[in-house]
Amino acid sequence: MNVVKYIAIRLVLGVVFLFVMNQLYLFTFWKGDINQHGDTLENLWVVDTSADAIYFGESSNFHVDEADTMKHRISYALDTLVPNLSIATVDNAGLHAGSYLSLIKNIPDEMNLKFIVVTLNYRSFAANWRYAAFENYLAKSELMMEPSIPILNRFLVSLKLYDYKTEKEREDQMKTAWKNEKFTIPDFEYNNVVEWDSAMAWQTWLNVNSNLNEENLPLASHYIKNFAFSIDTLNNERIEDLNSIVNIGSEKGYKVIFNLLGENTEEAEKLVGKELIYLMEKNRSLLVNYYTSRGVIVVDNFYEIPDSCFVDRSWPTEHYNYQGKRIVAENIKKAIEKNELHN
Amino acid sequence: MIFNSLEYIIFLPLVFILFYVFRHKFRVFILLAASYYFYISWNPAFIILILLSTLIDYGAGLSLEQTESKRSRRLILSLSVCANLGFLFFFKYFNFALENVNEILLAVKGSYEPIKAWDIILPVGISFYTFQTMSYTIDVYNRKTKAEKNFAYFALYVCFFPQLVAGPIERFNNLVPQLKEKADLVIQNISHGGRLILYGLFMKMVIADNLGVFVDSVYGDVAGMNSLSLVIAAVFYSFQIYCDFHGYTTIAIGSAKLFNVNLSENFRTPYLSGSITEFWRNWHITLTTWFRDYIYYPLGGNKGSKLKWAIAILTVFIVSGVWHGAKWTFIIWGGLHALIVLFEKLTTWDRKSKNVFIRFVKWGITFFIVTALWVFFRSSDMDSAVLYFKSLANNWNLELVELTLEPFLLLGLFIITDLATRKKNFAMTLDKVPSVFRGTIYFVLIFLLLSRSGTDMNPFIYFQF
Repeated sequence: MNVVKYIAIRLVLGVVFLFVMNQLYLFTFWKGDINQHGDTLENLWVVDTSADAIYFGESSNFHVDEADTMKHRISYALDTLVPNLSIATVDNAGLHAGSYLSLIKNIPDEMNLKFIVVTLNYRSFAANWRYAAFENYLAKSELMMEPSIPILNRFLVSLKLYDYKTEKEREDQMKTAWKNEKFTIPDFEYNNVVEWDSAMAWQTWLNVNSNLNEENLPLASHYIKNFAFSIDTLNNERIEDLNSIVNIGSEKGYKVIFNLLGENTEEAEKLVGKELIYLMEKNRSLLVNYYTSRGVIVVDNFYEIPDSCFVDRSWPTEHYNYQGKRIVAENIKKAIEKNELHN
Repeated sequence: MIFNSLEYIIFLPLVFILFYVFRHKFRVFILLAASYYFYISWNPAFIILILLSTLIDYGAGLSLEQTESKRSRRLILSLSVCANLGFLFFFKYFNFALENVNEILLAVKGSYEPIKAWDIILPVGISFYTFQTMSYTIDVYNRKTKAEKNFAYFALYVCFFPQLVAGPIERFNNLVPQLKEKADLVIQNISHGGRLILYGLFMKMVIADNLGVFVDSVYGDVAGMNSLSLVIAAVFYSFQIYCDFHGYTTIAIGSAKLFNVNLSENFRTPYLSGSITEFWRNWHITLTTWFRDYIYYPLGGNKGSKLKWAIAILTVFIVSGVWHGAKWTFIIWGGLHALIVLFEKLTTWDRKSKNVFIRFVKWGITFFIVTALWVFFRSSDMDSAVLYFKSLANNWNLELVELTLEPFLLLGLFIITDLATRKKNFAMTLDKVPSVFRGTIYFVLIFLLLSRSGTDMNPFIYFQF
């Protein structure tokens, strides 16, 4: 009995200690730790709490073309296009649905938001991104940002209780997904990334596709690795996170806009072929229909950005010049007006 | 499962509860099952190896006790030692031997197709439990201990989870009688065990893991570092490896204490030593005494001629280096320690002086030597170690390195606690502290553990041995 009493007293003291320690942590190290392990949250801290909306984005929002005279963000363009609304920005490189979800959970309760814009990057559904080495940092950030007890979040980070994997493990995961995540394309012999990419790598396609040459063959391979997949709504973690974002929006009473970014379908078709466009279209329509049916406003920029607006030419990205950014902003603006969110 | 993991935080209290819920005669099975589960969580396949090792030495012990013939006894001992060392050699040294054979053949033949290294995974803790089981068989052979008839207790001696993967290397006569003794649920055991676990986690997660960040960055680019960074990294590594290994041992001792088992002490403020000889009396004590009892004394110790004695010292330290790993850096590290110990013995440098100033100078020199020799221990290969010293000489400037004050403050705090606990361990030292002050110490340690633990959690350094 003495032992039970001894342990019980210490457990109670432990809870009191934990409360005091958490307050002390918030006062001392927390901001520094967020800066080091979850710096995106800092962007949310500086958001004007009187803003009507928040635009959540990744590098597509802030990456600029050196040749551009206008070096503004998509979100800035949007803010200027709808002058009667104040739209704040939260962005960072490499963010995806999981990161946005963590940030959205941290939106201050005192904010009276009308809507949020969440960037939907087609590539972020691919194994290439889902199992990228950078995921370690994002997973760690997500844990640090978890709205529970910050000092415990920090301790869990030190125990690596987030989706931590070595580079080798990530690479293996990616390769396994490329092999096992099948897709079906009518009258086409390849049904996974490995087979398709191998055929490319062996340069047999140089004879088939006149647009391919030794120089742009690696880019064609990147297109396959980044765009050739079939979204599985039951198992793709991005879908789960996006669904949670939709649920939070309904709970908190603001509209959710998914901003599906434009992809360079012109180049994808030129380098890889119509089979890839077939898959991309299948995924695009799935995303649009799936979320529209759940009450989300989906801004579909998928085919809207011309090839000339894409900045990176050696890797498929959604980095646009200002003209491309402006197209996206205008499409969001139209959606806002159509749904009467601007009043 | 490692000590600084959520799994262990759940596992240990569960085993603790089960242990005290059951009657004494079942407890050995609880601990045995828990220990095998603990080991299986690393790699299930290697349980076969540990079981094999257990069976061989259990059988060898019983056979030795039943055999009177000297020749037969020697044969049994040889078979057991060969089997144990055979496992160790295969898993730990085979590729190293192959690599050296390749190099020799290449040098002799000129052109030669090297034999490819085998894909061998080192079973965690093999060096520790192999030495532990060997000590048992040798002790039975020397009639210093009686053979254990109860297989469960013997198996538990080999795999008792708190000390299974990185020691302390226990002797049969110390561990098994304690395991057999009926343990009552005593508050002091819980309190001392808990304190030691807390202090061990603090050493590992707050001190070692934080110092390790800078050490890794420096050793990752030795050529590009200035001398100040290299010096700081060397000093940090001295404390990183100490806190890492001492931390592990302290958690092991604390965990065992919960089951009323007192494991052997492994460290006694080694960095306060005034000579390398003294350092080895205070560093990894259970390994040092193992080498003393099973290699140094059988080779004659200090009883024979000076040459014989010098050979014994050299052998012990080189074997110690080899024990740590299959790399030339470890062998050089052990060999250099041996040469310094020989020098100290021959010049009586290791004798304690009454003069405080001389003692301080000797302490400084000893710390400097130990720290410098750790460079070999830490470097991935001999070229890297040589590059470290070359860079130290060539990049000599004292420009401030990019390093925050935090690791220095944490190190300072650790040094204070280490000095305060130099006579008695952390748990016993706290017994004499007023409860308010004790509460403050708990608060500070837990706060630092929760908020300042390293975020690039690494496994314990000694797990690789």
